Amino acid sequence: MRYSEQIRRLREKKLQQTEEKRRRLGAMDEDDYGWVLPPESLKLTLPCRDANGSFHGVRAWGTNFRYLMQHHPIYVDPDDALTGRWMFMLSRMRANYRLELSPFGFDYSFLRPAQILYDITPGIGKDAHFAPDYAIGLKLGWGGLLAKVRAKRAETSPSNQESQDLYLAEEDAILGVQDLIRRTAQEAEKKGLSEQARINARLVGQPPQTLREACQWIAWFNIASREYNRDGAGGQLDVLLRPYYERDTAAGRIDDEDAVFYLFCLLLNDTHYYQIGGPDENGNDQTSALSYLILQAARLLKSTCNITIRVHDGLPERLFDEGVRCLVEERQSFPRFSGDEALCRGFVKNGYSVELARRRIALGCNWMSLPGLEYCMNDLVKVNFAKVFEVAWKAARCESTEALYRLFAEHLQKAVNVTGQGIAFHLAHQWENEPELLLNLLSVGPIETGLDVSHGGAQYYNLAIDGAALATVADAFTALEQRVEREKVLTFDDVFRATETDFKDAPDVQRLLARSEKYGNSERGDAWAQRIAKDFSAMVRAEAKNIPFVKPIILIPGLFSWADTVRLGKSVGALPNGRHAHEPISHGANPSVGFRRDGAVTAMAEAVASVQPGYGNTAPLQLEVDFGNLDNAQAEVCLKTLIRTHFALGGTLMNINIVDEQKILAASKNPEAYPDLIVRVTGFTAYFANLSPDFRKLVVERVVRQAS
Amino acid sequence: MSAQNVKGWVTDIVRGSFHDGPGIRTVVFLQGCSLRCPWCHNPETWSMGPVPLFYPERCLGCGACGGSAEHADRCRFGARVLSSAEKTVEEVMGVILKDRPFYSAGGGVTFSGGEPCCQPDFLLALLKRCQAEAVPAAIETSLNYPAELLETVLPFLAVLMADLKLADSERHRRATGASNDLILKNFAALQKARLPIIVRTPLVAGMNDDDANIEQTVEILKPLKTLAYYELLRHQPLGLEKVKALGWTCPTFQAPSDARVKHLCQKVRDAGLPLVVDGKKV
Repeated sequence: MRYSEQIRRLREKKLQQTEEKRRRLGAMDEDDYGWVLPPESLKLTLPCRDANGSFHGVRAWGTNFRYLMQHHPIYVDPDDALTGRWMFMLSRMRANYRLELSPFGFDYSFLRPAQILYDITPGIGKDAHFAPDYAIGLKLGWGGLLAKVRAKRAETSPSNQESQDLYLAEEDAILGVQDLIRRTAQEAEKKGLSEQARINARLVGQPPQTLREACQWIAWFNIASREYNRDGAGGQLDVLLRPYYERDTAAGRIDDEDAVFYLFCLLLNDTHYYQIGGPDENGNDQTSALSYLILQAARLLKSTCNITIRVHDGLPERLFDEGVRCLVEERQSFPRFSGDEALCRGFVKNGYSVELARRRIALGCNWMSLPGLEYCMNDLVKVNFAKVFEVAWKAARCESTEALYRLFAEHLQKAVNVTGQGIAFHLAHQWENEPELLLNLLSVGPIETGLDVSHGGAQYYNLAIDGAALATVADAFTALEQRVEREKVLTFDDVFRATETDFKDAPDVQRLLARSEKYGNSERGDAWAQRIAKDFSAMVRAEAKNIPFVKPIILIPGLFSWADTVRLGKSVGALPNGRHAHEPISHGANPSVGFRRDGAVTAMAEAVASVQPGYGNTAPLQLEVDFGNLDNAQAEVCLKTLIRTHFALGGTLMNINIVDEQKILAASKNPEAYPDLIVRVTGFTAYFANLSPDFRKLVVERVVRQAS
Repeated sequence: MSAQNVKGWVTDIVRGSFHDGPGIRTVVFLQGCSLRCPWCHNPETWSMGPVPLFYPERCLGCGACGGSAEHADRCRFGARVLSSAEKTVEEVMGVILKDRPFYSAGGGVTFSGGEPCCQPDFLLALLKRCQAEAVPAAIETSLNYPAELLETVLPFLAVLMADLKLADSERHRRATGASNDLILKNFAALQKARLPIIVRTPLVAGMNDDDANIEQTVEILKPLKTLAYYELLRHQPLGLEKVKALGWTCPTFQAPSDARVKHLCQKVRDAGLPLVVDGKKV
């Protein structure tokens, strides 16, 4: 390939940038994101600050973002087809920012006691986590978007303060982005990079015309959106870019090597989530020559990447094969696979058409979204089942697992209620706390109506509430039922006393409980998990009626812990599944680590398929597979069977790590010796060496099968 | 006794295996073996009935077993266990059928051991049930039994995986405690078989990694018309926990060097046999 040398140098630079981040910032338990460090000497002073060091309000966000863009360092690399990298995150430049709890300029202390009691991750003040429609931006360009905003502002009554403020802030956002692109063009010109200069000078105001320009436009939107608030949702990349690719190749402007190089640079620029393949709204598969080129470009990365292939009946076998081959041969934990049938079947139960369901695609760690059409709060709102169980467990000495379950369900209902109240509070105030200035631009509604996407501007409000720690709690019920009720070798009091002291004087009780039947290895374990998942789904669905809003609200249940298994575990004491106090909770919808002696992936796939919430959001299957010495061709056959079967059983999304157990073990002892080892922590991929020791331990435990 | 109620001793059932035949498989390990290979990783299967195992690292010293292997059933912590449990055909089928959705693309069930043919009635009953349920079945076998038994089993198999440790009968007897006369007769019988056959030799340094052994083995295999491939498996010196749990001293066998394996591979290739080494096609 004639770009081989450039690609090699770009990959090397990426590794250097990653190591530099690790050196300067230490561990990062998140996606790599593709951002780079700004110069250490650069000091920024945001113009708008509240007294507490945070900031909020529509105009403050617009002003601060414009300032950030105007002072943003320029990134130009002669090897790169594209320019720009993101370096800051405005949302985290607020004082008191925490990943799980954003600063919020409105008092919700009345909800905090219940949120703390049940360890709710409320999502109040959290941002992004829904999908833009890039087609809007690709059609209009930054100049067209600015003209649209100005035209709408002119049409809007000056007395409509909410809309006027929003439009002015949107203008600030666009002008800031244009300033950065313009300065980048000038810098490229100075360095003699005429094509980079030409493309950027054009994209300041004009929409893209060629594939390279379209990739650059998407890269700029991604950079801007990341700088604003970490948004990472991409789109159906093979459809978005197809017209540009086909026009360029038909005109003889580019060949496939050029296309692959541009796509490589786009994927290197940022780890946004993209989907390829899958049905259009009529059910016809969307795979094209470009889908294969995207996969080919991704394989050249040797880095983090978040591409998902949507598996449906019409998916060409070749794309499925090549996706699985990429996963097996590259061992970089991509692509992911989503299951069209169960996703659509679930989403239509919300009253939507199957055509709309097909447009709801995989664009986040665990989540689906309708690009440009809905506001979701995906992956932001979590109920910690383990904490809810602990509240029930401590509330009363129980006489039976059935009585305990009733109490658990009562508390779970209260937890869901307070979660719903949190969402209502967020929807009431988020627009005046943190508007979605970038994502609004690529949504249908906010600019047209002058309402932020969180305040009625979106077409649909399908809001997510995820449950976490399913296996931890199901195993606790299963262990009590087995050891106390069936075998009668322990009493509820024995277990209660043991958990109160974190099994300090009862190691035998701990061992006995930990060796009990579990979700994924027994009928009773599966039954408890299914019961919890089903009841949780019903409670979430019913809660929607309690949320007042200007548009209809639908709440969609999911099961997902993201990378919060460590944090959510820290709030919970010892439990009757033999789990020690403050240990991590179970991961997503997966059975507990060490759930079976044989670690059977088939049992795991079957178990996770059986607890799907069933309304279009996912309970992903996180799979670690060590094929050992198995021939790659055989490994591909097995993996294809596993994926197809999981989806046939009702599965929705698979995040798969193809791992080498020995390599992971060696890397856990000396992470820095493996700077390019990539693992899919949960929905996202990360450099193993960049994870904190807690997270590295988590990944190692998942990978290395533990004998029970 | 009906076929469903036939009982046998099962040491383990492993679901979702990628390594015991084509596709995704459930592997049923049966108690009993007629060979005594000193490098064996699973010597607890040698006996025809269950034997006690003790894992001291799991013992909490609760005293329930009175320190005796006879009361292994009283241990709730997995420190004292019996090597196998008696199960009915239906109980085993219950596990096998759980993974039926995953058996497409060539997968199925593999009966292993020990030597699965050491419990012929139980094995046959299981194979018949698998056939009735359309679950493709395979066996991993030493072939050390009368040809009549093999003939009985063969019609129910989709794949046969056979070990051949040593081609020379006397060397085989010295190493494993039994001559390979029955094994070679069965290999001769397999020349007429229609099902795919996989033959494997676990390579143990100084035991069977010499040129003569591989040259003779290749000659035995050449007439097999349905040989899918011949696999050389390097001995793994680790993973001898069960040997320790029996209270035995761990043997110190080693794998041959890479150079030695490469040399033997060439011999197999020269003979024109399809070759796999440690799971990978060569």
